[in-house]
Amino acid sequence: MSELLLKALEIEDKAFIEEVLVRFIREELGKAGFEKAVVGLSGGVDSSLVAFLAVKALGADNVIGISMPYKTSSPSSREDARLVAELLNIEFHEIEITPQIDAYYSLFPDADGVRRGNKMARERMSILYDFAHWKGALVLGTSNKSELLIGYSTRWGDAAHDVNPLGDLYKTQVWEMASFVGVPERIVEKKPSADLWPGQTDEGEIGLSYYLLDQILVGYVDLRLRRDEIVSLGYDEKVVDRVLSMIRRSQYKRKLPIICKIARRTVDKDFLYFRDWGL
Amino acid sequence: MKVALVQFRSKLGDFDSNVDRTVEFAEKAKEAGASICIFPELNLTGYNLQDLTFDVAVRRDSPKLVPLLEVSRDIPLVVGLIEESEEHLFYNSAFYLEGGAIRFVHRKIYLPTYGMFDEGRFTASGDRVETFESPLGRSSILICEDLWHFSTVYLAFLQGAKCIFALSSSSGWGYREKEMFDDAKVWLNVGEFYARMTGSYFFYVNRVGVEDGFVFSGTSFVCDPYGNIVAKASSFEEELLIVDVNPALVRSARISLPLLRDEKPGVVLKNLRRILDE
Repeated sequence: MSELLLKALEIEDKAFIEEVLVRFIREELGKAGFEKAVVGLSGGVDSSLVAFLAVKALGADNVIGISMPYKTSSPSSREDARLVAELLNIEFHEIEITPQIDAYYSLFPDADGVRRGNKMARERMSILYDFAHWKGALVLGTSNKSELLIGYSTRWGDAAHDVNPLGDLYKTQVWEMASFVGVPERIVEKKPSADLWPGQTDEGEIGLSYYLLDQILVGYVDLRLRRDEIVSLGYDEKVVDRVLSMIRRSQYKRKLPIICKIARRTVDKDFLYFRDWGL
Repeated sequence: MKVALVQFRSKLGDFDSNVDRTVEFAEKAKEAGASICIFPELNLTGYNLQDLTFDVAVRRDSPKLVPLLEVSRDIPLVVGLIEESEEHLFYNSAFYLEGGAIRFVHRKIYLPTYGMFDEGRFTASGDRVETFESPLGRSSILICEDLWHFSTVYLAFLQGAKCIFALSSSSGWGYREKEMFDDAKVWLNVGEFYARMTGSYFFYVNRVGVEDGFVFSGTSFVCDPYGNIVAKASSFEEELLIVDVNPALVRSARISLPLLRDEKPGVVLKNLRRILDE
């Protein structure tokens, strides 16, 4: 534990950061010509926080929450997704994804949990984009900085969205912000889980707590400390190495597909324009 | 005397629409009785231009500047844009327009090319710090990263500047301050320091708005020659900040703290020569 790294994670003025995120959502959607947003509600803290921020940014009438449980999803996830929608008074849909997932895996009855989990994440993405087109909305992302950095997400699944207000907040900061904006305590306090199979927890799968993970990440990423410098602050070198290796191995997940350069100018390399070009 | 600072929201890469809105603000500043109207860095183009740099650039004789030159007959302006030179070099420049003509140009000298910045990849760097006569007296324009190299302020100071126009497109970062981004707090400190050390008025004009998730941190301000913040804009709103300034305070501050009188540029030069020769 290091004071330096714990301090680096502290948000001094949560009201200000909330205002930044709210304005970010409003302005990035507005500039692109959208008033509405679609949010996939899992019943977890990330998507709940995004829904709260979206309602502040766009108004309750302009936010559509969609819960997409599979038959093994825990009843409390379903309930909490519905609870958030009810609290915020937003349009809400619960769409069971069991039929299409099971129909597909009837072809591959031996498929493992990761394969099935990835398929579910991509099915949910596909539903969110279907709704986005139907409702004239953009899809808000719910990936936080911790999961982006270690690659704890499904490529083109939960990692696919249009605008992400949480991507520069570590998970422990998401908890703080969620509590601050009024996400119900039982959602903030429950163990984070992708809920892909019964009893699954993020921290169990990642192999360390978000509390510890975030300290190592903020040291390496934000403060640009080197491996040995982090270890010397009092962190187990095996844990530090594991985290750094997760970052390195998941770099591909943070990038768009790579293109082979042939011509003078190549779309992903030296054709450089912001997305907000002309907006 | 009143000075107008326009905490502007630019449309990225849309020169014409930014010109229209700049003219509107200048007219409002004129109505409010301001003697000069100052806009942020690259307000006519937006900041994160990358390859758009070459599309939005204008020459000094470009007809696209006409609406701005026209309004400068009513109120002098400082605007930010990409300037294309005769040799087709592209500069992050600020123009001072007055009486229907470009009276002064500052080309950004220090181009941040690290972290979130990539200016050196697209623009050429200027090499002159100069002063000019504005309605506020001897003035100098510096652009954002220029201010992070205190030699620029020193050079303006030695040339008699009593007003520093600090134009910026500072993107917000940091969550360790109250009611503002960390970078906005740093700018307030920088302004207080320079104003006090030079006995000059310091006008910091920053952007608002968002470009691909970069949230500009606003908080434009005016600091008097004693180093007091006398006006400050909000973090997020587009604003026309009209501020009363009193040039007599420069005299007062410089009597209290005669740093310019005691300055020794000869010693600086001698030391610079020695350092460079060693």
